[in-house]
Amino acid sequence: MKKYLTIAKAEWLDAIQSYQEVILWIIIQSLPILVMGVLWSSSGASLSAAKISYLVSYYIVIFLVDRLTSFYFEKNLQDEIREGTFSRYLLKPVMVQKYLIWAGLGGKLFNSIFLLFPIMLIISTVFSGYLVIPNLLYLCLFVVSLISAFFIQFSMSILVTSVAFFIEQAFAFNHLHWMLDAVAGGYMLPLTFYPKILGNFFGFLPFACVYFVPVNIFTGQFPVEIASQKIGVSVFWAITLYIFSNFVWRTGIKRYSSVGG
Amino acid sequence: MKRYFHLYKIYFTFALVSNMAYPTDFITWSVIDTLWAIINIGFFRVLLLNIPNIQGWTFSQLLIPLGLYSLLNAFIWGAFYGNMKELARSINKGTLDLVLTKPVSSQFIVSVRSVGLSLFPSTVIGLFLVSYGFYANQLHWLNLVFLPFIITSSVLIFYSLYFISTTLAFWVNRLQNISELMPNASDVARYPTEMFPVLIRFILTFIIPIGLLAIFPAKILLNIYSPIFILFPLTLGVALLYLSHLFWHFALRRYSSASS
Repeated sequence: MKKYLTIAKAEWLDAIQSYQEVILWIIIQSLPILVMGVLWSSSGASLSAAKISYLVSYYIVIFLVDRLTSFYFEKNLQDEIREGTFSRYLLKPVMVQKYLIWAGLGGKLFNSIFLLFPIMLIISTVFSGYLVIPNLLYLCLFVVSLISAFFIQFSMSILVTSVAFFIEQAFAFNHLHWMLDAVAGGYMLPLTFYPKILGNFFGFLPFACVYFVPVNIFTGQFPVEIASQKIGVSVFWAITLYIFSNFVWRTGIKRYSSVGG
Repeated sequence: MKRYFHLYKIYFTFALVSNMAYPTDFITWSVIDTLWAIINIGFFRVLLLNIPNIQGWTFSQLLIPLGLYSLLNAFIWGAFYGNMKELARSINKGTLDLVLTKPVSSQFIVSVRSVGLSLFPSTVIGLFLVSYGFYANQLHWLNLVFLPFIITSSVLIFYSLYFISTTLAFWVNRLQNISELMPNASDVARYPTEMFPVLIRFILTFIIPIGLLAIFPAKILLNIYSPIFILFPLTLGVALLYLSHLFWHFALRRYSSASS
């Protein structure tokens, strides 16, 4: 356990060192959210006040969920696998997956305390008239769904990275992952906006458990029973994907080869 | 000027040949670009199934700015992104010496060294969307004569803003992701400026003129504005290009080399 805490601490220190880049990433990622907030808050007559409130809150919470659950190691690891420099991870006395989780947690902790929450506060103030605030029960359910989303995102990132063990054009799968998150996860538009059959279909996929489910729990769109069911589905996907991604990763490692020392 | 055209031709051909050496990459990128474009159009289609219009803009009208945005995207990801990313890295690592000692404009070289594969699919999609937008809105095809001027002005404005923002890396030690800011910010160009508060609208038109990249010229093609208004983004583009040139030389004073 101590060694993983050290990894998290190292990542925390690295985040402090590169805080300017972190700030810029947060600005870049908050831009589409702000635009969507403006779009809905300016749509006046065509929507009810409650719907506008929900939609503005939707995108603000999407931003929060994304920053807290997303991993950004895919491309670097894919490059290292292709170039053969990935061996350095295998030589360390730590499990690569655990290393990545703890490193991610260390970075997220710094980002959350010093950057994300202050920026969230500013965004929330700008859209204060529209923001939906959940009660304690929904907040607890939201945290559980967030943890589940964290592991789904991690497993997806591991799966996408593992593709590099098998094919050269692994970067295409990063885009495929982002596309599915955007469309089927509800990052771009709430799933209720799609034609019913399509929306229902997306609702069964794990991508919905990353964005659509936590955000709708936060905004109180689901009754408690439905929210609990959705969390159950989310936990199912988190466990299934974690096991599957581990299997693919281990199969990939067996195929990996590198030259030189 | 002739020398620069000749140089650009050489850089372009070389980049194209090295890209074509990996045909699978080319095909993969083409598929990715096409899918992103479909998602982009699908987003507005689904959005406008739920609301009647965006500040008066219908889906068929939005096809024109979306097409212009796609054409601009060809330049952003095909011509600029790789070069600006490399520029930010070179500034950070202090490896610009080779460029600075060459007997041609250093700004020119750092801006044209590489060409990406996104150039082709985005261009095709952009042209298709603009053409379809013309058909859907029953516009006179003669209006298409403005297209080259519109593309030129959008490219000039975007390049200048992108170059100036990337050059800010001279002042900050670790800011390699500065090259990601403008391509992401350019997404705002897809949305009608009318939806923003007055202050933001002013900024998007006159200070950081992202609003002039697709929506403003689309209004000219849609006959909402008189064609004479094309002079505004065109003049601003040239002025910004000159400003980027001045800013580059000002910023170079901050540069310190890492090589021996």
